[in-house]
Amino acid sequence: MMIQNHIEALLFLAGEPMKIKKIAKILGKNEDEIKKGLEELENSLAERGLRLVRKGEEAVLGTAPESSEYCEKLVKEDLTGNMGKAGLETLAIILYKGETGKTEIDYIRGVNSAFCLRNLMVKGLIERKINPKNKRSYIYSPSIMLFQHLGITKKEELPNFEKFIKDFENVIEQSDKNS
Amino acid sequence: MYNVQVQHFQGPFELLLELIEQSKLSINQISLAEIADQYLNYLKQMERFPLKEVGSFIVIAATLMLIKSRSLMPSLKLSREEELEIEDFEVRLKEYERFRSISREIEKILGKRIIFSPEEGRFSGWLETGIFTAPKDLSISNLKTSLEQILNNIATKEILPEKIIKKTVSLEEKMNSLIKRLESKINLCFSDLKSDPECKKVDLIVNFLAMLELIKRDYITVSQTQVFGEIEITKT
Repeated sequence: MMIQNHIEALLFLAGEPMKIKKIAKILGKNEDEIKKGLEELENSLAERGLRLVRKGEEAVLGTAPESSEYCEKLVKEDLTGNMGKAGLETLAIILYKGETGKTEIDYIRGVNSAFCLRNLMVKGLIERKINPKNKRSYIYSPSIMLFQHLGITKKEELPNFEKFIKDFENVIEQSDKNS
Repeated sequence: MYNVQVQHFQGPFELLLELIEQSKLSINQISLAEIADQYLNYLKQMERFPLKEVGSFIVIAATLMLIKSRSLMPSLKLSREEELEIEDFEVRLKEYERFRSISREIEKILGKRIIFSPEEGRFSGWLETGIFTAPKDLSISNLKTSLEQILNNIATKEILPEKIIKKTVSLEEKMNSLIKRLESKINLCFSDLKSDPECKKVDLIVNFLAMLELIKRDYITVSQTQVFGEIEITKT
């Protein structure tokens, strides 16, 4: 059996995001081999009812977004609820910037985002960890579950992602010139 | 004058963008100077002000006034810090605009085509054989740390000290009440204004200023026969 099949089996059984490191350890392979296996798995799943969702060092198996209508009937619950403008703005910033601190989010939005961040965290849509550069603050990043709720399997699938990155680089260039 | 529907805005940038878009302007310092008055007017007529965000709305108002003052008085010397603040302001607003439009895209797809993963416990039954085996790291102290971590993860509400602010005595109010009094009486003595038991020192001062302002506006004339004597006020 090929390595991608073993990975598929493990991810199916785990039912939650698995770290590449852990898969490598279980299969006795190195991480590069696992990454290659994940790519093969992703390609072979493309025509099926399952998708491989990846974010950074994590991977999880999920149902194809095209089947969400039916899967929802089985799960029977509205998972997201209403986000509100503030929540969506905060999500957008975290999604496109990747790892972001609260100060940066507040700065862009012009208001305090503590309440929004808390709500998003309770819903499991974002994660936070201690900022390695400043231990007194946190950095926020999208959770793999957020990708699943958006029906995307990697961040490059976000709407206008490439354009956004390009614009963003322009802004940085400009502010570099200014300073 | 543009009419802005009074609605609840999440933040000052959102309000500002709304105003700029309604005037069909693009974001730059000229449009910001033009919009400054509208922004202030809007704040004035806002009935349900989001109390928590008052500060952020006012900070933006201050920057807008700075931008406007400079556009009216090009000779106005700004400090380096103020210059930077204005430049930065424009960049921030543009950045916010970008994220606002992205957030609308996100709204369109969020929760529409969900990729489901097996729910926790759905398969775990197959793994267990009905016997509970405690994991090695299960201990009271570990449970305590986990619980603490969970509690720490819930951001606590910031409680800011409250302070009661004394109602300000407005010059405008005093002017209006003076005018009202003069409408019913032809002339008035300044000392009459003191007779009100509610009248404090500060009211007296503002009354005096109101009187001066009304003289300037040619609404009243005053006469005083001797130093520190009674001031008589008559309508012009």
